Amino acid sequence: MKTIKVCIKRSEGFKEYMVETEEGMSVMDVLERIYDEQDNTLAFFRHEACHQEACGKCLVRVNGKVCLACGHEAAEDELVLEPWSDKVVRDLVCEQP
Amino acid sequence: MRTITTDVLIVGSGGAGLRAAAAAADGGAKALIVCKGKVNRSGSTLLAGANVSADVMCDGRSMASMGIGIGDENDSKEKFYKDIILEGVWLNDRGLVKQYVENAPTVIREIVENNKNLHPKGDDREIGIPGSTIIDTYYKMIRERNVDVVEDSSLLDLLKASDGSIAGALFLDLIHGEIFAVNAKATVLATGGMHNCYSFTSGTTGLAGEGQAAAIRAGAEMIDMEMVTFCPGVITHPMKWRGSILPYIIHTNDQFRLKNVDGEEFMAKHLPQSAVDLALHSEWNKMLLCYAMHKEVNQEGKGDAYGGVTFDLEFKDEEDEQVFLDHYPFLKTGTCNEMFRYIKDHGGIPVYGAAHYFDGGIFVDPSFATSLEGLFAAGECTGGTFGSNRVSAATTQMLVQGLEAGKSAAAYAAGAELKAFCPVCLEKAEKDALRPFEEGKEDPRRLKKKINEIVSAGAGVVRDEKGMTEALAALEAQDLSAYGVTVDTRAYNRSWMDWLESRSMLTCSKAILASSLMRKESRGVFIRSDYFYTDNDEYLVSTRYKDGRVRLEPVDQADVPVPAGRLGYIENIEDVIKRLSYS
Repeated sequence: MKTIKVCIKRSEGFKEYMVETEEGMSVMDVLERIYDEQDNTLAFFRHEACHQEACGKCLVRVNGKVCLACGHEAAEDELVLEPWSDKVVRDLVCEQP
Repeated sequence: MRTITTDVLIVGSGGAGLRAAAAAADGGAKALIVCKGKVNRSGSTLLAGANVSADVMCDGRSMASMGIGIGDENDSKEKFYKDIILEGVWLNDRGLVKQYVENAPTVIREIVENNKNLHPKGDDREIGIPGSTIIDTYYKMIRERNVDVVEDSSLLDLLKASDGSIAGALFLDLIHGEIFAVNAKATVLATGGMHNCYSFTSGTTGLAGEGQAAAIRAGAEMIDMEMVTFCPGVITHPMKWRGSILPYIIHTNDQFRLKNVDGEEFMAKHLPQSAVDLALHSEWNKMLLCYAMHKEVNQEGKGDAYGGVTFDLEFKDEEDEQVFLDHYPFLKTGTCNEMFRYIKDHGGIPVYGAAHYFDGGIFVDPSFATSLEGLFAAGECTGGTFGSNRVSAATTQMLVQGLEAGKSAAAYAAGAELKAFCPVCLEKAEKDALRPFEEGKEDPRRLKKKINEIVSAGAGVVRDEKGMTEALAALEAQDLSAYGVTVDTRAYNRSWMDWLESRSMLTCSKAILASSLMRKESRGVFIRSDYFYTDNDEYLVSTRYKDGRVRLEPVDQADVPVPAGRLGYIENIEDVIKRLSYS
């Protein structure tokens, strides 16, 4: 268990969250935890996700690099999460390729 | 409102939806797929066999004729047919099983011929291939046929014409928040399972039973809604792998162990030795393993921190491990390799039974017409094919049924006119979808969790009268109007999606519980602690749910001999297995 800082680029600007994480959590799990416990206005891809790096739809920019939210383990002490493309719909959700 | 017109509308883009669309196009119809995710990467099909090894099945003789070195010349369609009915413990709809057996070789041939570099491993009756290979095969097929596609859009409601027939459907573009309609001569539902009714599932996040719920709201008849298959080897922890069935995919071997929180094996405590052997070494293991795990966790109180048990692999020596890895080569690379190493490094991995496959669903005839004019359905959202227990492949099911449903829908559309929506229906469907913007204030995510808790407790692996009655009453007490959106925008509004999914989940869950209460016996995947026997005198019947009421319909038993009377649940399974051609 550790508490990490997560900065998310929302449509209206960056917002910071302190999130308790455990080993084996993905960035998708961290986003879920934020939505569940801190902020139910956050938008991130979730409506038809496989969670198993198979569908390739949960793209997000993590600390500058584009990756799958479900495939990136949240091991860092600080996460900066941004939309993966410049065609933002809302918060971390972009127009689908 | 934006309205798209087409001949045949297909809702869903797993194997059933893709195959239906291709068949509709081949039948001369203009076909349109609307799907909740990405057309070639959403739905249950993608995760079939943990996307490493999904079984696709047909009879062994037909398999032998494919030229892939797999099969059994001594097998036959007749034997396969009888085995499926025995596996379903005599509840199967015979017409649907016949259609399955007859068309299974066709779809396997399609996969083999379209994937020249595929060297599938397999058995007498099956090949094992990744779910994505199946999807890719049929995605190519719809592209070649110029099928239109609208992605990231969720089904809101079926829409009727003034004469009561189905004239299309209303959808929500989840990304942008636009509600739009599709006006079609024929509609095919291929929306997959109702996984989201349960808290722990092996499905993708979008499987909320929208097709089933829309069909129920429109007055369609449902069949065997009480039959839910749980998969015993599904990862509960680490969180990033939660829901993966990989342990189940690699469990059919001598190295696999299931242990409780104290590190003890427990199967023999809850099952007689013959049933333990069945559970460990046959394809009949899902309900037996889930039953033993349920008893160990809920009765003995020996569950782990994640509410389940430990799946472990024990190797005699390095050579033993190497042989194992050669048998499951996908464990040598990528995420599967990480999982394998986790099991070795941590003395196993936490698993439990997850809602995995829905044997019941929308009632269809062998042309895949539902009880509603103009509406067809295929794949997991239908019911009846596998009776009370699916052992044979759901991948084959979705493909053969999609093929037939697409054909039927195209033929229906060829003789039909495009009918205008009944204006009242359209207005009501749109107004209903927008309720969360007008009504309650509570986060619908809380309602989803409540439904999950109620259904998991009341309609889980082992059920009883009291638990089911309480669960149904608790579902009836839930009030959708207390919940509403947490943000006012329509664009990618998670709370709106949660509200809409809750609505579908409530509708489906009530049907599951009401149907369960009508079956006072245990059969196949349906286990009751208060009626722990199979009753062939009273319950060779399917449950039919319509407009909130359930009736029992006798299942014709002319073809496969069935013993009369009652037999203990486990004893009955042992007896059925003795009757199989492959036991």
